[in-house]
Amino acid sequence: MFTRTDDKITTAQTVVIISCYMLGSGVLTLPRTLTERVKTADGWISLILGWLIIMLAGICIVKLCQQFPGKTIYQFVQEIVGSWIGSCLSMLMILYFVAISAFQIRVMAEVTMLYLLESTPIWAIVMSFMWIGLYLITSGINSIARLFEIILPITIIVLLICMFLSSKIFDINNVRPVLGEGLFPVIRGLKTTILVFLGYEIMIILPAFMQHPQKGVKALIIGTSIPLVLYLITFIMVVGALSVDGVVRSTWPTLDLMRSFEITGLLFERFEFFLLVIWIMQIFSTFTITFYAGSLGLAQLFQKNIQPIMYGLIPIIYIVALLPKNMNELFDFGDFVSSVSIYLFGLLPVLLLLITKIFKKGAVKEDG
Amino acid sequence: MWKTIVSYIPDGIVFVQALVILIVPIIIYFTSKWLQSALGTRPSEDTPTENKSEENTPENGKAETEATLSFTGKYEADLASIKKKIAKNCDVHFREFTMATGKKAAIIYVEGLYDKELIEVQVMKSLMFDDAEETEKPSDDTKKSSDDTKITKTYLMNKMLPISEIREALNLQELISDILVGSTAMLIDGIVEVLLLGSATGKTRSIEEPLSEGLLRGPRVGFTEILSDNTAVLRRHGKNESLEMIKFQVGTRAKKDLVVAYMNDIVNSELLEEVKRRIEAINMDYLPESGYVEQLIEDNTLSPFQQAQNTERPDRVINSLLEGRVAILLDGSPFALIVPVTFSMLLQSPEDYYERWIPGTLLRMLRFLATFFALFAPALYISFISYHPGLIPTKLVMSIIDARQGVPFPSLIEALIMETSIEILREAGVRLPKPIGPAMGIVGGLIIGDAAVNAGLVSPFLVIVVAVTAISSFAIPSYSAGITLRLLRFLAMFSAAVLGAYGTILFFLLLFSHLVKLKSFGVPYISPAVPYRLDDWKDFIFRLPFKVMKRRPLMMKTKDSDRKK
Amino acid sequence: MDSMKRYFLFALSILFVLCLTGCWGNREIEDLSVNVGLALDVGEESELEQELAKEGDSYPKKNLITATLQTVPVLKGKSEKQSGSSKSSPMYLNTEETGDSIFQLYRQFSLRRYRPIIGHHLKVIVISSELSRKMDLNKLLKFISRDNDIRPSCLILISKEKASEALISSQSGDIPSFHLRSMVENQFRNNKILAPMILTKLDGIMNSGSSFILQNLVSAKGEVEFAGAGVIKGKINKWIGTLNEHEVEGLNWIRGEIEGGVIKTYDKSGEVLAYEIKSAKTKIKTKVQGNDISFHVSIESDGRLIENWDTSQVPTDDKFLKEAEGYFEEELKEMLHKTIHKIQEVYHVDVGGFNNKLRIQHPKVWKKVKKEWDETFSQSDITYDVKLNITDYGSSTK
Repeated sequence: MFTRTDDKITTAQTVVIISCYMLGSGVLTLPRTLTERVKTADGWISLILGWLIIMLAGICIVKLCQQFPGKTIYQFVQEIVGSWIGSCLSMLMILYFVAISAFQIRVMAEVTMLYLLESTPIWAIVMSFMWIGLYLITSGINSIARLFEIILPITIIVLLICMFLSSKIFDINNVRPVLGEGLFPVIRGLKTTILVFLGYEIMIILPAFMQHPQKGVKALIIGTSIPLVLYLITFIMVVGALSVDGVVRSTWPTLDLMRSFEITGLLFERFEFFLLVIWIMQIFSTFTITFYAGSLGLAQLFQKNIQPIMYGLIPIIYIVALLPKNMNELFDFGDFVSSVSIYLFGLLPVLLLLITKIFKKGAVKEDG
Repeated sequence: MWKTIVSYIPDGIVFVQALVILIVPIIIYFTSKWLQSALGTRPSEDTPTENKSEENTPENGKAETEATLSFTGKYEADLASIKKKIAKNCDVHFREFTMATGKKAAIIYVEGLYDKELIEVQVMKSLMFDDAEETEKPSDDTKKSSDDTKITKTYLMNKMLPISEIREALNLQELISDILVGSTAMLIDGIVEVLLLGSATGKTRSIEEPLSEGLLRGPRVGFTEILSDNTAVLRRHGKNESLEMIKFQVGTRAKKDLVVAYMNDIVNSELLEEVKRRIEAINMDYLPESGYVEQLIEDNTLSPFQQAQNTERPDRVINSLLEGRVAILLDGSPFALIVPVTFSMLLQSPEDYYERWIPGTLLRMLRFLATFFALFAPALYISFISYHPGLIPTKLVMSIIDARQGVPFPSLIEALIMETSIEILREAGVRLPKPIGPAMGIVGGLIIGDAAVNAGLVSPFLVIVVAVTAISSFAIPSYSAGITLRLLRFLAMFSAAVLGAYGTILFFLLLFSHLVKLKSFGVPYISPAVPYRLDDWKDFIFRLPFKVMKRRPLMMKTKDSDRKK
Repeated sequence: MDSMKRYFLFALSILFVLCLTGCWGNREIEDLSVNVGLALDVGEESELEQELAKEGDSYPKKNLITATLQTVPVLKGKSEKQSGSSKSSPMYLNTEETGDSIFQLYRQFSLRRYRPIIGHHLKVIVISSELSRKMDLNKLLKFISRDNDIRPSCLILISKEKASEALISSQSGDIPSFHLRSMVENQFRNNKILAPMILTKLDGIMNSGSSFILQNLVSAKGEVEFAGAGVIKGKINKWIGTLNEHEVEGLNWIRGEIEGGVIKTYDKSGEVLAYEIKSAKTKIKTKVQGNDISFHVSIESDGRLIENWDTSQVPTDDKFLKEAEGYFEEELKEMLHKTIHKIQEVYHVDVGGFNNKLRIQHPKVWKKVKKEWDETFSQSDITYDVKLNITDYGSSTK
């Protein structure tokens, strides 16, 4: 066969995967969740600070992975802490990924049922979505990366256009004053922003697939700053239009922003459809990559073929997705899973990195 | 605690659904695997053995032993054995005559295929009359060697037959097959080998402008059915030593020539090897058109997308060769195949390059837009009308409601009626004789459309949508890609009918999931869109000025990536 | 081969099942009626409803609200369509329902009309001042802002008389909801129109607890006119009074929402002078001294002298222009004075956007006074200066 070197993912593809993973359900809820905690319009500062923290955690993960070139965390965690603890940690991460993918699917289904398909049963929405996801991931990380590369530019362009159009009802007074109540509210929002920026943790597996793993940090920085910029724009536009008091009243504030104006004369008067389109695509990307990360983990943990595992995971994800009974539980579920990630992908990598450095494990070149 | 846990255990129905979610993809997986293996005419290991078994059938074996016997050199015996083989055919003629030297000779040809002038003027004349005056010289030569016959053959070839195309047949089998494709055989008493003179010059079509790929600006040259003409057209593109053409024979029963053309200092050698390998593995008794080759060497039989580009335009082939692609030409087909193909190629036309870059870019963008419409316009119509009235501008909603009053069908059925009739019209238009075709189009398009609206079968809005879709699909330069899009449009319509706009989005995702998986000879089908290669984007949606396009496409991994020296 | 066939059949049947279960939320567009306008009045059953109730249409409810739903299009038969618009049948259909829960009222609708209504295209909500005096706006609009069909882009208006009258038009071919919607866009021609108050904005304002004004409507003989504004006091979210057109104009100056329009005054001989506003800029400066909060409003505007009836004066004369500017400034100051007096002394509410200025300029102070802002505002000093420049005089010098 005509073998090609691009069977590994390029740095650009790594960037795209990180960005697509991060841009998930958060786009629609971020302005509310953040403003609920910050209570002023300064959430955007929290976003930047949160991003910095995320960067640090991400760099730790990348550094850790660079100690074990060509291996994912599932493969090398056992080398660091022994097979028992290692397997447990791997299992936790797999559970995390499964939970995230289930959560994303459920949120997608809820919004779709609210705004697009009112009387369609949830299983119909979820089922078709999952099958297409499965179809994509069976052909591995390369196809996933290529699809994300198609989705991301569409997302960025459409989101920017939507936000630009919404400037019609934007009122700068709503996002002023900057730091009117000092830094304290900003700090309060940090936790939310860190949760919003989840997605960097995909770097625990990506360096193993990269053509140039040494560019991992660069990819991470660019990959996380794309969502940062998009989130910043979204946040400012939404709060600017809906005002702090209005944002906290809205379940899906970004959608409400799009629904709050009509531009007659353009071919389309209403633009929430476009937002929903790119949003569903983004959920699809988050779902597929977490699904893939989960099944890859299982495959590497039990050293089995990955395909049957992907098939096997589908019903599990489906059942998990249907567990929350109402919206509150759904959001709680999301919060819980995200909080777990702070320990799993914030503190754990630092520990692992320390252990690796102290006991000089990993690649030989680090020793020399 | 226990109670809360129990309350979270989902209903039985959820488990059933979960099971369905699991089982359906597994079934699809096995079905597609089975289909792949059942349909997969793709090269596999068992091909050569099959070939052998066919040749080793008893009758063939007998014929073979007879055929491989080389000629005896005895005129009567050889002629008899040839006659026995092919004299049954009414169009095979044997012309026996006596050479000036007194030897008996015969010319065997197929009526209508042989080069009459060549044989009469250059061969028979020189053999029957001119021989006498040159007898002195051959007698010198004959003395040099005792082997009389051999010298005569070389002498014949060197001195007596002033024609370029001359070969010798070594055995009966080869001779007969060559006679039947148009060569003229010459049998001379005392010469063991039978000479084959000239080649077929049957009536052929002259070079015309290609019908399927019309251009306003660009060479008016298209391929014809004659392989040698086609290779000649390619050769004529300019002085270029690196253009190489290798010949293959394909077809187990009726053998045909197939030429693989490439630029030897550009093409990726792995790609070339792969093309050769797949062509050698073709196992088919007869290949009437290059479409057969296309389908026999493609990567994925189940994909709706074509995996080789067919073209009638030599300029397009040369351009592709210069990009590092490989062209496959089959005798008897005016369509050359270009591999590997990418989706963007199907939306490009040579005209993009002949016009200046700004209009060229505009045309390309229009084509991308047209593709989008051709694929999604009816689907969006259905999903908006049936599911999302809230997403249409208010005034439009009112006029649509007004217009659709009295339409008895849901939008899906309505759209299907119109789309199907348009497709049938289109198909009919291809078959109809040229003078009637346009008239039929007008009758079909205008009258049926108008009548359907008046009769209240469909709404005028749908007619607009269908018309836009149809026009858009004509804007796609490649006919084959157009068919694919037409097919996919129906799928999009169904998904929209089931899940509204959500279904359309899912269809989009499914389509692109398929496209990113698909490869044509190892090149991702969706390149150069992804993976991001800025250099390749210069010739993608945009067609940048030539000064900027300095390199060959990176995706082709060419040996020589610089277009300029 | 048999097993393959079975696979194939199975896959096929699954496909069919999927197709059959399809088309769930599917409602063809022509079977729907589009709700474009909603009027909320104090509950009072119409004659028709009373009669229907007598016949047995009754369910447990309190008659608090009468909702008038305007739906389009009214379907015409084919023959009627061809005969053209010579017939003056209205293009809309108003249906009244009385009850309490607005959601229920919406759903009651399907008991009376066969085509279900969709709310995606709701353009205006008109609330009668009487109803809004009695009921908390927050309660009235809860359903509207929560519903997933109704877009938060719909416009909220107050009507002095019965709100349902605002949804009636005497002109045939006119749909009152669209009419009202587009009239709001006329702000660039007339400064007596308030910036459109859409549901999204209203949501935020009501949640913040500040007072606000809504565009007021008056209607007579099937004609609807924008006139003044209804004042809604924050916290209680109830209507407390109206501002007249003049005061709305003044308020627009203060809020810096002037996009165009006119200032008309009289010169010393009583002749009309008119000034066309080309641009206007308002700056509010907040000063905090101890517990005293004071505001300074400075207004600057460029415009054109568009009308002067005193023909002896020519605008090419600089002196005359200066003089005219003086008249206009005086007129504007007068207007501001009246407006500020009204909101501070009469209604005791801040509807001029001063709270925002304080919040931005002195966030710490704002936090302290936020709770009792309307009272604090009524006590604070407001000063203003006005600068109008006549930059040109159109295409005529005389």
